[in-house]
Amino acid sequence: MTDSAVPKSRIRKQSLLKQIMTMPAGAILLVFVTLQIACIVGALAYPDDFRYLSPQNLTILMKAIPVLGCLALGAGILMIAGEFDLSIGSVYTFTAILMATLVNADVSAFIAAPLGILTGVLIGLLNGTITLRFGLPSFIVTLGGLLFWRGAVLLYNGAVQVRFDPEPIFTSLFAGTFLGVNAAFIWIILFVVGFYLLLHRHKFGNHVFATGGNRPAATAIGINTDRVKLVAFAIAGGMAAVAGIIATARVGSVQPGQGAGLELQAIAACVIGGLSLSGGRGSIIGIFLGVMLIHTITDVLLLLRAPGFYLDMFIATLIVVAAAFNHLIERRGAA
Amino acid sequence: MTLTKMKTAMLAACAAMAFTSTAVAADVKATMIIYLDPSVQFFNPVVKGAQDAAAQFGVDLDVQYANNDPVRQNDLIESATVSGVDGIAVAISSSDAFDASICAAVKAGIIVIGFNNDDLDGAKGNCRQAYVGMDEFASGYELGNRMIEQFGLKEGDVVFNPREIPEASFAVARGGGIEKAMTEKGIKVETVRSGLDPAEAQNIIAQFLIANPGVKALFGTGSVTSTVGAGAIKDAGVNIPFGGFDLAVEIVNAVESGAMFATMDQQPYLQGYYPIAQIALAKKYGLTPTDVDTGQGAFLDKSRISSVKPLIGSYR
Amino acid sequence: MMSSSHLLELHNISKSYGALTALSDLNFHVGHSEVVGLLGDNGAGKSTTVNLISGIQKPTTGHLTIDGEKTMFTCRSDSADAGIETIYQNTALVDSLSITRNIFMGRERVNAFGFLKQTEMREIAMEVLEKAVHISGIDSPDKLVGDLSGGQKQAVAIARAVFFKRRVLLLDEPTSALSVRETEALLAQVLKLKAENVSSVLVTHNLYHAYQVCDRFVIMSHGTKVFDVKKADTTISQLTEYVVLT
Repeated sequence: MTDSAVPKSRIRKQSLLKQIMTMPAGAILLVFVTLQIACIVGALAYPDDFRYLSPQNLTILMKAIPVLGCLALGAGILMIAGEFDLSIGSVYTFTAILMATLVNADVSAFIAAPLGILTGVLIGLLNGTITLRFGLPSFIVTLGGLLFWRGAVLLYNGAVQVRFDPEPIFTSLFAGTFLGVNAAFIWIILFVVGFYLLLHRHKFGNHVFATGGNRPAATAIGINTDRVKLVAFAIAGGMAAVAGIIATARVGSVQPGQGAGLELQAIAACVIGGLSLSGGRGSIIGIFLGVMLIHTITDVLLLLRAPGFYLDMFIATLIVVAAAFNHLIERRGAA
Repeated sequence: MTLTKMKTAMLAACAAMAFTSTAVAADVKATMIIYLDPSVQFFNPVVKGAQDAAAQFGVDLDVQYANNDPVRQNDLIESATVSGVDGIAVAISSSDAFDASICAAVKAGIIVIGFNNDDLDGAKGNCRQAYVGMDEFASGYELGNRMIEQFGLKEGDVVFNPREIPEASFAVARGGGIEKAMTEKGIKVETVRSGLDPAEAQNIIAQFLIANPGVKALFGTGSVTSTVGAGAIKDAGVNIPFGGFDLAVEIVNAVESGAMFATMDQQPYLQGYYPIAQIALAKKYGLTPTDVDTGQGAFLDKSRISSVKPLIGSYR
Repeated sequence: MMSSSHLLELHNISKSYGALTALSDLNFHVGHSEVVGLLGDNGAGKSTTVNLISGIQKPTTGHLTIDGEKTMFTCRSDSADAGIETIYQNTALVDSLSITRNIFMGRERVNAFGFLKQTEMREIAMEVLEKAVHISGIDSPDKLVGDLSGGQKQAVAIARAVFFKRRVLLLDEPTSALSVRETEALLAQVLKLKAENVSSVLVTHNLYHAYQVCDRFVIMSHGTKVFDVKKADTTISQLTEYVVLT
């Protein structure tokens, strides 16, 4: 009987680590926490050289994360449903220019912004309809979308930058500070909570995972997989527009050339966060951690005054390592 | 698991190395922020100038690229502000997008010097203490007028001025100068977005020239269009005068051979050298930064180009 | 209780995909409390028949009747409403989801806003796993289906069908991945359901398994029925002959 007492405590200790690892974003959470601890220790040891904990630095982090965060949330939900949207970078720019030009034509920002989001949603639905109706890979359809909407930006307003001068309330709502926290960061937290509830606690979320994880099975069970995917496409487009609103409110103008490459960064954040490229696997918290990890590393490298190239190489390595790691987990199960 | 532990160890090692290097740092810290990405060759002499000044004046220099993204440029400016550098040299490629972050930096006691591109409203529109670069509008105007004079361009003619990034302030300023010179004489300017990729820009320019045989002259705007312009003229099989900006091996060859009339050189080496030097002098001795017009004497035609050739990419 | 019409009947069903004819003039019925074995070699049209009954596909001509009434299934949920539950050959389970979420997939227990009642579903899932099917080695309904063995997955699919059972259970090659013990458990389950007035249609290659539990055999070949016989009136060797020779 004494034999059973000893293994029991060992099992309990192992199961905490194992519990974390079996959580969808467990590994990435561990990496993130480790990184944060290292940074905090470094900041406390060298407060002047490594100003990680200074309030201004935290503000920068809070300002930078929401844009990529919104893009990644939309792209990620669609990825879990088994499709891709490469056009979100172009949609981000197009809807922002649309909103800014409307405001310059004396439309209230509180009308122009929702119109921008609606446009994003419609573009997403267009992507989805073409993909599903013709049975094409969404990768290809949205690749076309990427080029199309980038050109549309120039067609719509020419190759000029557009100032964004909304009512001051609007700017403070999206770029101001609330109780010491940057407003955009509050928004991304709200979105994360909202999408968490939708994806992990709502029946729609179950259908998204089923559609992405095993589409024939979902169809056989009676789930309307086309409808699920269309909603996911709409979310991806809409969130791209939201990202555009947040970025424009912060900077005060829109450049037609901005946003290039953001779609790949969003997908990278999702992959780092544990999403599978073939769908059916992932979590909202993983997406958010992926974004936070990318921006934390960017911030650390900037504070360390490392040349910009290191960042790209670092992120690239991180993506491949994360993808390999997730693949291992998929293959072996949580054992 | 081993993977996580290894990653942590690597990160810790990197951090330790970085800390030791910053600990032995010079007493002046500066960050140079370039708006475009590292593939744009124009900035090689700029960076060399900055590095030479850093070495001579004892400055710890960090060069960052914003990859043509205004959001990223703001992040870079704000990060530099947070890490408490003594000076920031930044290409102010937009009249509005960076006003807030630059003013915040100045307020925090940091010297901010614009280089290469300036706010279109100059010192009135931006908090930067000085601008080191070319008066781009004036240089466009000068080139335009010289080409009109040299090649007898007259009222009713059409000229082509492709622009890499039409909304960027350098394109607005230079293109605007060219347009002013042309409209004063009743000449029309056509323009198109050519992007930053040289091969693609050459195709776009050539195709336009083929499609529009009535074009009487070609004007480059930035270093990319000026580099590929002569090649595009050849591809299109036309014979029109060509003038541009900045320096590259292809540009120098073209001016020497006569395929290109002249180039307006903005002396990029000085655009890197002076801001860093001025930051160091300001920090150490309290000397006030001043504007430097690096385009003075910029006009380089066949008679003045030969000495430049061996220094392309490094000092010119 | 005794009605003159059959529980489920196929009338002159034909199904073509362009030039390819999968089923032609197929007629058979399933009675109340009856286990029917649907046999035939590869390409006979058994899977197409299953798809038609479960509503995933529609017949080109002909119709189905439930309790004598003509019905048209346009989608899967129509057949579910009519009381037909299917266990598919490839189990129709999603590997990346837990057993609970798989059991309730498409039929989640939700509150007024559509949010999942997770505790309730978990409890039911556990109960179903323990009582309805004897599965070796599954101790938690939170386990991911992808971590289960082939036989365990099959058992989860069966548990799902059993839980949602209504009137007819379609089993498409259910024993292909099962061990001997699990096969016995499944066949016992089919008989138990029969006693509870749930009929089954067992599609299988394995004549021995079919002979153990079926009351009647329908043999298909080249898209139509070639033989319809009660168990009492036939032997395994005769059935084998018919399957091989037609």
